[in-house]
Amino acid sequence: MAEKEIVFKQIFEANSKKIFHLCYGYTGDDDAANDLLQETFLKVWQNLDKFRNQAMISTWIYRIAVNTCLTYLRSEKRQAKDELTPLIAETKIEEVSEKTEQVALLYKCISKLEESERIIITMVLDELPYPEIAEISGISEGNLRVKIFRIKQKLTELYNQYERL
Amino acid sequence: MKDFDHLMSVWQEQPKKDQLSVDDALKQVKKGMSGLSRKLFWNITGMAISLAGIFVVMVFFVFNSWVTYLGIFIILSTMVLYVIMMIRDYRIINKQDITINPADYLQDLKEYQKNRAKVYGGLYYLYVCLISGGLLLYFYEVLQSASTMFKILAYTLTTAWLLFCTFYLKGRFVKSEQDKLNLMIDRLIRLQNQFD
Repeated sequence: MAEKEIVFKQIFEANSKKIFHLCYGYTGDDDAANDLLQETFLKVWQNLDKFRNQAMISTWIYRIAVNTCLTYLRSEKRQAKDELTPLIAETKIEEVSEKTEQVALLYKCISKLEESERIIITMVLDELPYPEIAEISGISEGNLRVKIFRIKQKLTELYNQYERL
Repeated sequence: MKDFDHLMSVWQEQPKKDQLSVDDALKQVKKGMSGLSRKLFWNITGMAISLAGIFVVMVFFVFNSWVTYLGIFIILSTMVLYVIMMIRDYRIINKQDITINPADYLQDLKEYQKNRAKVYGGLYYLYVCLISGGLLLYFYEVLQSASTMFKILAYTLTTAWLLFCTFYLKGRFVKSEQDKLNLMIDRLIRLQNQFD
């Protein structure tokens, strides 16, 4: 197997789960998240040589994923923000376990956030260090801390609000 | 009342989704890469065949008037201009750096979309004018020995086709293209504000 393929496979195994979370948090749809995941890794493959000397591979991949999500503009049919609601509505509550229900509720709340907030919060939930999130999103660390504090509050409020319904 | 730590635990314990496997990803990546190259290959091949066809007409058919050659030359130049634009676009799209920070990336995209809208709006008229001019000059000699009826038919059909492209096809194409671009630009502006 070519060296590039081996490197690609290693990178995919190490990062795809978190990148999928980011894409799913952004779109709220399995198929769309897989499309974005695939598109991200297509760009990773195309730019693999460029990045050999980068210190933080995950930061580099996250940036690609964030930019790929942001340009997810096939907007006539797939408005990312509105997509999650019908998906959740279709889920038969009695068929899912409490845990799955909680996860679905959490994704529903994430879908109510602004695009940038959705991206940032999925990285926070995946426990990425703040300096890395700042680096990926291009926001200063100080500014980011304030933003994260507000997003956390907003998400928690939304979650409690929907949970009561 | 649940706190953020609870959300964190919900997130971390979420069941694994049906995610693309590494082998499928690799297969798709390779397919995607060859798809892109194939599309570009067919675009360029199509244009090259047309150019070669016109070139053959120019070299193997003997015309008496320089006006005819001028007509063919204008048509050829217009097609070359189109190929250059196609390659330029391809290069611009490839030049976009997806690894820069999102705000800069969105700014780049916005500029690109605006340029594309501007260039394609004006460029179409230049394209039609050049092709029409080229065809007129070409027909001048080619149709000289044809009957008046045939001449009228040839000119009418060509004019009708160009008018149809300009006022019907172009209108529809530009409108849908502009709508998409406006939607994209609006969304890019909104996204960019979120990163400020």
